[in-house]
Amino acid sequence: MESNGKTIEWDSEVLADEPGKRIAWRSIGGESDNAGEVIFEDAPGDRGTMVTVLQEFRMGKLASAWETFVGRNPKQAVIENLRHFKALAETGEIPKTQGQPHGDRGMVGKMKAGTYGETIPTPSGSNSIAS
Amino acid sequence: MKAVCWMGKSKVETLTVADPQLLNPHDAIIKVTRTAICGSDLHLYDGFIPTMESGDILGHEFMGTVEEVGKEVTNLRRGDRVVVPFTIACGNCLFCKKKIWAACDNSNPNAHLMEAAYGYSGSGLFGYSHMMGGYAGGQAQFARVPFANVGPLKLESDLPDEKVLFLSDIFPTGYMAAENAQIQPGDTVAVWGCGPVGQFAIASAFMLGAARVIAIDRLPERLNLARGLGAITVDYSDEDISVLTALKDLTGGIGPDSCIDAVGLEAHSAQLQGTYDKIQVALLMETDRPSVLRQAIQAVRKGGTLSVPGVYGGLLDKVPFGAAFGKGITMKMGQTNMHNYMKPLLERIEKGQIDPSYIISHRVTLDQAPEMYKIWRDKKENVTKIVIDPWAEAAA
Repeated sequence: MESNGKTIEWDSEVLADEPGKRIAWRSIGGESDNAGEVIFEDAPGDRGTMVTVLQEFRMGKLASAWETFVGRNPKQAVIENLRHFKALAETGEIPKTQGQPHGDRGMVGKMKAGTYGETIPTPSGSNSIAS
Repeated sequence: MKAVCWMGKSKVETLTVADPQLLNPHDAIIKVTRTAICGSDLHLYDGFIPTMESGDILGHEFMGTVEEVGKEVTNLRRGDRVVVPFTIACGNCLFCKKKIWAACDNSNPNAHLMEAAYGYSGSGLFGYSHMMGGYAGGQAQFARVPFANVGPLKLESDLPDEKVLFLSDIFPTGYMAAENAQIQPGDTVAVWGCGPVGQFAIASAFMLGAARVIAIDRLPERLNLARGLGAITVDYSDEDISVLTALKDLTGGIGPDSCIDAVGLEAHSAQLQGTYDKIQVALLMETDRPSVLRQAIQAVRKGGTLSVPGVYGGLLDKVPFGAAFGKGITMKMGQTNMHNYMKPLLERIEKGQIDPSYIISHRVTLDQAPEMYKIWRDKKENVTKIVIDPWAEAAA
């Protein structure tokens, strides 16, 4: 898994796997202590699929506060992961602005970009861009 | 390349920055041949829209030729002439499929910022704050256009840039304002603000069957343009005139069937409430100055429609919601669903029904843009619309 640009590795065991419907896991060692479940359900009115993610990260209060300070807290990270997944599933790409031109940000501009979460790398979503 | 950058409140500079690159498979790079400064750019200039960062490239009204396309863009080729809509839409989400493109669910990488303020996020916009996506704008020599397979309107005819440039925002915005006003043949429509959006709202109201349009502003050059379209004009700064009384008198006491607020959050007012709003904003008791909105709610007839193309950003004070309820009015508003209007309106231009270039008063270079922001804000030099040629050199 990528987190704030760093690769974090851990082993998990799959607790449940119903193809196309539900998958659940828990970590059994490595750099992250987490457990989770992803559920896929038909949305009412033929509007596609509703995806529910339940994920639990076990970390100390200090570590959690640090994560929030330097990037995203786990809750917002899960929300953003889901948002990226939705964009990728619906459009084939994840919207991004990292790498676009701008004038000198100055100190205030850089701080703002940080607080808006714009310094956290957007996953590429697709390997090749140019035709 | 050269680009017009926001460097803080009331501070805009033309800087040399890196050229844009393709970042995603549905991107295109456009060589910008014409761009314009919008009235809504003044809300950024005046610091009313939060989440701007110094260095942001401004501009959301632009057109040009395709320079390069990503691998998923199959409908455009290098050299194609295109007008780019200011709202960015993916074309595939629930909202795009419902044709409310300005509510696109997938084009704003900073959706979480807007969710905090608005509950849900609208589409990404070019050059209009990080809450609205943080996309670099088009007041530059080149621009990156995401979802280029969905947005840009390809031009097959050789109409000059100036006739079609305003399909990028203000003509569709004025047209949607008139459509939102639910005009029936024979209706009287009142339009507040005779800037570019107001102009196209007036022209579109007539196209949609209005029998009479009453245009309200204070600047003689704008009122002149409105009269040129066939509107009756009311100068709200004239001390002998009450806008509400004038609208009643001009409608036999009934009131306008539809009212269009083409002013938005930085309204000026000749009355005491103008001062009231400035104080409230300074005290952080409200963020917008809604004097036109208040007046339009008051003015519209019973069961009438209020259409709001003017931009509002945050919290408003003393909006007479009781009057809106008491009269049973309909209110329609929002960013323009650009993709619905660009093609039909291009056809109207091609048929000669309208030449949108009539509003242009200033033609400038990128280097002149910063001083133009000031002139535009202060309404000097009889300015009605500023168009930039990004490749022109300043006259020596």
